[in-house]
Parts: sequence; C-alpha cells; structure tokens
Amino acid sequence: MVQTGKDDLRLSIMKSLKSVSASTEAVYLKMGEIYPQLIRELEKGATSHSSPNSVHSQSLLGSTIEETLRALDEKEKQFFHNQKNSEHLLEQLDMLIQLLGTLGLSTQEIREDSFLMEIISLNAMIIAAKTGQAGRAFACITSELKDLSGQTIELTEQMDQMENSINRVFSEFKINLSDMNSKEQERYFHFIKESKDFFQNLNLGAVKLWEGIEDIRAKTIDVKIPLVKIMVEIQNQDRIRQSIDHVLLSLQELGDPEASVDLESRLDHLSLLELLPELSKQVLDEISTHIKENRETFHIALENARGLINNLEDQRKIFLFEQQKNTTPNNLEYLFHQGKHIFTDFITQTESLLRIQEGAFRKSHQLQIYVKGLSEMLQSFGFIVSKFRNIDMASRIQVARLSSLSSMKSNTLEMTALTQKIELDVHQSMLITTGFYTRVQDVFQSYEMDFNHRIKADMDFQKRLADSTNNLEKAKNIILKSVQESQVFTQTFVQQFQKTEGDLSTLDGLLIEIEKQKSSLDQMRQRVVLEKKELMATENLTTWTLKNEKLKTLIDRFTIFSHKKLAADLGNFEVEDSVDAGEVTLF
Amino acid sequence: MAKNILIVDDSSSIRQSITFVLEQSGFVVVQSVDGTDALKKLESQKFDLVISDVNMPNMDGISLTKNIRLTTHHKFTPILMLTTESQASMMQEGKAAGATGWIVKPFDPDKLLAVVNKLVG
Repeated sequence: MVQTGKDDLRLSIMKSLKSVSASTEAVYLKMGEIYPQLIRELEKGATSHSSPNSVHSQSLLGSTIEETLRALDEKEKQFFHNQKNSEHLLEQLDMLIQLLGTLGLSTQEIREDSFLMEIISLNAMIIAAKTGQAGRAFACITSELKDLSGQTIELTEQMDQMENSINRVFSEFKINLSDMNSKEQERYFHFIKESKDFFQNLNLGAVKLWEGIEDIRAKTIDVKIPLVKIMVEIQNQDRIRQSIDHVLLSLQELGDPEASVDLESRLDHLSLLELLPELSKQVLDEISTHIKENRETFHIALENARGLINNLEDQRKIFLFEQQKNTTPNNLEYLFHQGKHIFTDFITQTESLLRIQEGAFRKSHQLQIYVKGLSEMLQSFGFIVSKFRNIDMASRIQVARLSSLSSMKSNTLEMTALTQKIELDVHQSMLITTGFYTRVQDVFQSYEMDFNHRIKADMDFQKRLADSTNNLEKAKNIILKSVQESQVFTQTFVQQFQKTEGDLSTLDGLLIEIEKQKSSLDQMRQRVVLEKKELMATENLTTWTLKNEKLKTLIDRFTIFSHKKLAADLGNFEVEDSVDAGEVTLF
Repeated sequence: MAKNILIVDDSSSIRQSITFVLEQSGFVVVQSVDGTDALKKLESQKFDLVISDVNMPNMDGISLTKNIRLTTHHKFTPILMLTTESQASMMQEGKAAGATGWIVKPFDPDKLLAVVNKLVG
C-alpha cells in the first residue's frame, strides 16, 4: 500500500519535473531566439542612417537649395547686365546733358544776335525819323525789325528756361538713376551674402539635425550590453536541464524493482532511498537558486535596457522639442524663418524698387515730352528767320531807293549779316535739337526695353524665390516630420522587447512548482523512513549503515561535479576533485 | 576571411549562446546536435575549429574527437571540449582522445573568445 502510494508520488514528481525542465527550456530557448533578433534590430536601428522620408526630405532640400542657388546665379548675371545697361544709360544721359549745353550756347548766340538786331533797328528808327515823310516806310520796317528782335529775344529766353528745365530734370533723372543703381547694388550684394550664408547654415542645420538624431541613435547600442548579458545567461538552461536529469535519475532509483530480494538488500536500498529525496531536494534547491539568479540577472538587464531606452527616448524628445522652436539659434525652424525673412524682405524691396523705377520710367516719358516741346518751339524760329529775311530785303530796297537813307547802307549790310547769322544759328540749333530729340528717343526707347526686360526678369526671379520658399518649407516640414517619426528603436525591437518581459514571469511559476515538488519529496522521504523503520523493527535492528556502491554507481552518471559532491557528502565518501566552472585548460 | 566553427551540443540553449557570442565576433558558426550529425557536417565542409560537448546522445564528445582525428581533412583541426564535466580523469580522457582544450560550463564569453582566437588566429 505504502509502496504503491510512494510510487504514485514518485511518478507524479518525475512528471512534474520533466514539465519544469521542458518549460524552463522553452523560456530560455525563446529568449535565445528573440535576443539575438533584438540585438540585430538594435544594430540595424543604430546604423541605419536614413529613413525613406529623410532621404526624400534631404533630396528635396538639396534640390531646392541647388535650384535657388541657380536662380541666384542667374540673378547675379542679370544684375551685372542691368548695372552695365544703367552705366551706359548714365553715360548717354551725360552726353545728352552736354548736347543740351551746346543747344544752350546756340540759343545764346541767337539771343545776342537779336540784341544786336534790336540796336540796329533802334538806330534805323532814329534815322528814319530824321528823314521825315520819305522815311516813313523805312520807319515801319525798322519798327517791325525791333518787334521781331524783341520777340526773338523773348523766345530765346523761353528756350533757355525750357533748356534749363530739361537740364534740371535730366540731372535729377540721372541722380535718381545713379542713386537707384547704388541702392540696388547695395541691396543685391547684401541679399546675395545673406542668402548664401543662409543656405550654408541651412545645410549645416540639416546635417546637424541628422547628426543629433544619429548621435542619440548610436547610443542605442549601449542597450546591447544588458541584452548580451542575457544571451550569455541563457546557457544556464543546460545546467538546469542536467540538474533535473540528475533528480530524475535519482527518482528512477527510487522505483527500482530489484530492491526487495533479501533483507540486507532491502535495507540497503531503503537507506539509499532515504538519501535520494534529500539529494534531489538539494539539487532542486540549486536549480531554484540558478533560476532565481537568472531571473534576477534578466530582471536587472531588462531594467537597465528599459532605463536606457527611456533615457534615449527622452533625449530624442528634448532634442526634437528644441528643433521645433523657432527661437533656438541654428535649428532648422529658426533657420527656415530666417531664410523666409531674407527672401520676403528681398521681394518687398524689389517691389519697392520697381515702383521707384516705374517713377523714373514715367519721368523719362515726361522728359521726352519736354524735349519734343523744345523741338517744336524751335520750329517757330523758322518763321522768325523768314521774317528777318523779308525785313532785311525790304530795308535794303528802301535804302537803295532813298538817297536820304544812304547813311543806312552800312546798317543794312550789318542787318543782312546778322540775319544770315541768325538763320545759321537757328539752323544749327534745329540740327542740335533734332539730333537731341532723336537721341533722347533712342536712349529712352532702349531704357524702356531694358526696364520691361528687368520687370519681367524680376517677376520671374520673385516667382522662383517664392517657389523656393515653398519648397524649403516643404522640405523643412518633411525633415522635421521625418525626424519626429524616426524612432530611436525600431518598431520590431520595441514590440519584441515588451514581449520578452512577459515571458520571464514563466520562470516565477517554475520556482513555485519546484517548491511544490520539494514538499512531495519530503513526503516521499517520510514514507521511506517509515518503511525502513518498520522493517528494522520487524528484524529487531536499531541501526543500518548503507553500503555506498549503488550511490557511487548512481553519481557516476551525474555530469555536474557539485551534485556528485552533494551525493558523496550524504553518503559519507570522497569524490575526485574538479576544476571550477568557466575554467579553460589547453592541452 | 571569416573562420568557420562547428558547435556540437545537444542543448539548444548552449548552441544559441555560443553561436551568439562567436557570431558577434565575426565567426561563421555551424551547429550540430550530436557527434553523428557533426561527423556528417565535417565530411562536407572544412572547419577551423570544433567546439563540442561531452555528454550527448548517439555519439558523445570523446568518441567524436577520436573519430575526427581519424579523418584526413580535420586530423589537425583544434577541438575544444565545452562541458559541465570538470573532473581531471574526464579531462585526461578528452586529451587522450585528441582534444585541444577543455572548458567547463558555464563559459565566460571573454575567456571563450580568447581561446577561440588563440586556436584559429
């Protein structure tokens, strides 16, 4: 009855321990499969330099910068071309102003001749008055000559005024143009410098951003240390398995049917059986200690890994937070705002300069109207000249006809010479004015063409800058989003890591099971002790010393020295000494 | 060129653990579950080192070592015994069979790597 109950218990313990062995193996093997994967994921995450998003954002940023720099280069060429045209225009304006000066001289000549003509006419009037009735016709002629000279003087004064006005407007126009050019030059060089600095900083900012993330990501490899520790600990499963095998070997002995051949053998066997539960318990204790130690190692390693993971994730979040603030100098958001400001400023300034240029352009039209007016005014000299010619002719006829006017001969000769000179001067002035007008028209036509071309080019450049700003914003947003989404640890790593933590709790269940089996072993021992006691009482025996051969045979099958030592201590015999675990011997 | 190492052990956890440690250091590792399986692999592939357990089903580590020493290709290939067996008599048996060294489990990864590098370097 006792025997049957003891065997049931033995079989139940064996079954349970086999299950513990299998479960332990399953937990450790699972860890053995998962941790190398975790470490591979970790290495993959730590060394992956770019996500598809980051590649896209970097290429978009790169191509936008390239395109904007190209636009800036073209703008630079256009700027120098404009500057050359402006300089040419200024030179031409200088020439026009000089030409206007020549016209002024010519007008002055006409005026001076007209003054002389006026004096001659006054002289002739006096002579005509002295001549009396005969000189009445001549008096009329001289009076008309005086009026005509007066009109000519007045006209030349008007022309003078007009020339002065044109000269002033030309000079102002030239000053404005020159001022505009130097402002544009200053503004442009400032813009180019700011833009180039900005792109350099932006590139640097983008590189620094990735470097920052890469630095944090590179630190993930520190998580590998605790994970490697777990991988090394996994080998302990082999020791646990062998230990359970030793217990199972012992428990097999407990069920050996040879045991009851004779009294001596039975008592010897029962003495052995008395020892085996204790041996098994001690081995199980060792297994528990191993599992507990491993559990603790795994726990600490996982806690370390978790601490590192959380710390790195916090670092990433802080880094990202700093990157998203547009007040942090040299971060991408700040740089982008700076760039946007540079571009917007330049566009605003270009627009305001265009308005000034439009004003100048309108002034150029005004100038052309003035010059046209001057040219028209000069046309009236044609009529005056022909009148001078008629008066000259009439005077000469009168002087030839009337002997009383013979003293006027020299005056008429002078009058004829002056009339011819005025005619020549007027002709000269008309030539200058026509030439001036044509040149003014040519200069302003070319200025108009240049102005229209400049407006078109500026509009194109503004559009390109606006496109670049949009693309930069897009690239910046993609970069920030990509950085924001870039996890320090890959998704697979996080999932697997969380899963392994749960698996470890299985080990706690195994420890409870081992404790339970230790109680069962105690029960078994008590039954064996009782059986031995009953047998000894029947045979009137008080003590029985175990012959160790069976125990020695049993422990020969043990593969772990500490278990042999345990058995030897229990059976009071010596075992061959051994080297320590982990020791390396090269032959 | 990466060195090839054959690991022979009936324990999956030991195989996993050693494979991990060696692969991390750049070795190419092939696994066998016992001596019989190992001999088959040794016939078809050249290895720079064999790391074998002693107690295994089908063919134990000592027999495997004796068999390896009989082959032409691996006559001089270093063989490390990696086992829980730690008694001098057993180690002597291994040495007599032709083993190059003996490491008592559980192994220390640094020590293991030092020995492996020494033997295959």
